[in-house]
Amino acid sequence: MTTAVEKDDGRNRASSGAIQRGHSYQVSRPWTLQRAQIWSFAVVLVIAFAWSIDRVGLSFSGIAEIIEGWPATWNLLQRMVPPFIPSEDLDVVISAAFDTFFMAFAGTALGLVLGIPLGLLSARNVMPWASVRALARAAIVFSRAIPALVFAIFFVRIYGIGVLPGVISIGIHSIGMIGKLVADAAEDIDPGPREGVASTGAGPMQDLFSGVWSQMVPTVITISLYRLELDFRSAPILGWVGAGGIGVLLRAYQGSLRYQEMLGVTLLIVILVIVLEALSALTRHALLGTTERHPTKTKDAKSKKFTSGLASPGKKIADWIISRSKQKATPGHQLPQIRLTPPWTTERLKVNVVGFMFSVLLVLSLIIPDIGAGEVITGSEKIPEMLRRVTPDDWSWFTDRIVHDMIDTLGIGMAATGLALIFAIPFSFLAASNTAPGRFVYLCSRSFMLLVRCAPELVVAVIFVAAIGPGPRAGTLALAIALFGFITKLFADAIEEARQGIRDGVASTGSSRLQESTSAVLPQVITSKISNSMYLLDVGIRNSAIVGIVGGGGIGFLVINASRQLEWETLGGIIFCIFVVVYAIELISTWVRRKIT
Amino acid sequence: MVSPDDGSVMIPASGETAVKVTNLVKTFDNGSVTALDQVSITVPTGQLLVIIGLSGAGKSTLLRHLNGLHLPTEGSVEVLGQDVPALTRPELRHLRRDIGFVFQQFNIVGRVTCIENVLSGALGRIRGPRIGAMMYSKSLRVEAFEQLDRVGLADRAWQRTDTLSGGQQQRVAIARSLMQKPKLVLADEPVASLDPEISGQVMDLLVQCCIEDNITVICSLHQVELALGWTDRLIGLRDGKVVMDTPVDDSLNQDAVMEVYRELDPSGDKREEYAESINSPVL
Repeated sequence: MTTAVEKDDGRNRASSGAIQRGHSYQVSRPWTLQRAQIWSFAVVLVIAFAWSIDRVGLSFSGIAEIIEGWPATWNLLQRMVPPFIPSEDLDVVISAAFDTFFMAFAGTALGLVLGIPLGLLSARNVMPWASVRALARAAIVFSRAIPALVFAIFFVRIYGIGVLPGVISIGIHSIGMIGKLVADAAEDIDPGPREGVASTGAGPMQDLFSGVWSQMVPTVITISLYRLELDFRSAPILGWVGAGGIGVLLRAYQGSLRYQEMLGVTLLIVILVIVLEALSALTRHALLGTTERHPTKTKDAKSKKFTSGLASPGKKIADWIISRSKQKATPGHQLPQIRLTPPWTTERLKVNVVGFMFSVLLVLSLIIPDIGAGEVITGSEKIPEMLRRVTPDDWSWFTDRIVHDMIDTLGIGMAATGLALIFAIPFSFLAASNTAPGRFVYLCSRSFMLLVRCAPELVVAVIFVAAIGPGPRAGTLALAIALFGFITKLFADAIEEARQGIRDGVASTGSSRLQESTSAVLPQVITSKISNSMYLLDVGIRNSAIVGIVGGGGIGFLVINASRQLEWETLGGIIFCIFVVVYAIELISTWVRRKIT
Repeated sequence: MVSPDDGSVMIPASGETAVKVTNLVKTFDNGSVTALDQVSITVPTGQLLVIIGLSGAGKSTLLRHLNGLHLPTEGSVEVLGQDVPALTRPELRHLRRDIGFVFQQFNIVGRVTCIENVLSGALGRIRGPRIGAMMYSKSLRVEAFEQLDRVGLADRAWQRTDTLSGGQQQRVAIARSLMQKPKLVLADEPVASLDPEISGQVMDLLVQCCIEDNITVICSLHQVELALGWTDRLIGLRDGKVVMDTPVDDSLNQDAVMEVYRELDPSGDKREEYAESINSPVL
């Protein structure tokens, strides 16, 4: 025994010298300030979750109530099936669906036109003047915090019922969302090429376009398509408050208790969202996905790959254009021919086709939903007057009811986030190709995830309110489902990006597949999971403010009520309260995310 | 002309002075790190000057002072007859048009075409921003082709720059510098991320083009043997100080040059200590 101790002692002295004779090993991890902070914050979150579950009526007694009321719910659900759309309403439904699509498209376009410059103005490495940056950032923060649906309530009062208020409210909310992402993208660019451009003596605008913007283009494309997808999801419900599109029908069917038609329209919305998401993915792939980064692959291999994926008429056109450009490019010189215009490569063709399609859609989105220029002008004249009206002079609008409903809103947001996470964490391992127990499970999980993701939360809330009655309970469950769909994708993608080598390392010690997941994959994804979870809380609170508009409990009810009764100061006051709460949650969430990573 | 105080040597060439640095001091982090310590260098027009030294010796910092990417803590920097630290932003931009800068990491925009990267070298001459190569005038595009042809990449003009190999990307960066029609080229370890054979080719190309256009070159390098091949004059930096300044001719002793790179104290006190601890009985 003594020899063994001496042996250890000698080795330790030789290697580090840190552990000396007589000292015991620290076998539990030492507590640091950061570790204490994170754990106490986690405890606070768990307590908050338990409290909010109770607050929204989903504790054990609450669930018992749902089970007790099951016969009534079952009865209602039976009245929803089979879903159908009456043939006499078909043309109305189709035109409403088109309106919704173009409303979302025009809204995103408006958001991009205003959001990109605003984002650049708020980026530290683009805008040197702190005062301008602060102003731009304030505008971004405000328009991010207020949901599009709340903006819609306000703009419907200004422009009247129709598509125009929908376009403007989507646009204004998108400005903030796009602005923030663009600012982050600008601050993330590689300063090297920018220095290269600056060292040629370029001016500030030249530097912005040649040094900054040229690097940001792929990110901006990703941001735009992502925003378009999200706007397609929020657009269908805007009609609920009178902003045009398919939501108007949803509201009408719900009001006249025609539940089968209501579910029919809901399913139509889900299908449309799935189709648009697929189109957006295709566009992204066409613009960014096939980028050749390997110099070994020849140009011919590239065009083969491109044309084989095309339908035959498209293939013929593409072949024709490429062959024509090749003829032009090599008219028999032995020297490399100087082309002063870019050749028609597949890349350029794709970019031009996509650009053309989007311009056509943009023009259509201004023509088809029938927005008159006169409407824009007469409505906009009312804006200053309305802004003055919604600015409260005193605190008379502030009631106990607002405090009570605001706390409800927080409860809904936290409970829904917690519920979504409880189900999403295990589920994400099933929906990641590298950890799923089998191919079949993986495909089923992925399809289920896609379906859930494409159901807009407020539309789901409408169904839940109908099924289990209005109140925070319905809002929480609907929101939890939507958040589940949102977060499982982020989680599963993060797991798929985990490095295989580390898993091999753990596997080579003779561990089981589950042990591989917990010891090799989980440590790699845990920080991104926590960070994404905090982001989810942020999204959850933001949306919990509006589920009340369709009867899902929380502050949303008071918003729509104040608007109906034309209590402008109350409306303005509540919007201010929502802003404060959402912004506070965002600050906390950002703080925690920074603390972890 | 030899000034014995700081041991610097000035080689008379065409008589004009391209760069004159006097007692340059640069500190970072509020003076806790000294990157350059009393550096004085004079470079006549048309000279090919190589600065050698270990990583962190201050080579990059010195070069970045010459085109105003860094401002001196003390001392003066005069480039092409202008007092660099005193220039306003527009004046500095004007000066930068005459100075080509070749970076170790190329600093070209990877996702745009080669020709657009070369064309960005002309930004100082034209007004207003440009997106895409087609926004530049036709005559500029022809000029960019000529520069790309000089570096042997005219056939790659419309390819994305990040599909090229490292050596080719650096040649694009050189073409961009030449596009500026510079009077001075600063090259900050232009071949440090390339393999030895490609390094030689790229250096040859850089020097050849600069001699053709009568451009003064100041280049920092790791590889001594590469430097000795074609430079007129060698400067050694160590811990921010000029420790060697010599013309390059047959009489130059390579061992003296290698001294700049000597890192460890060879006297061996420490080595004995290590050896003792290794040999000490453990079992």
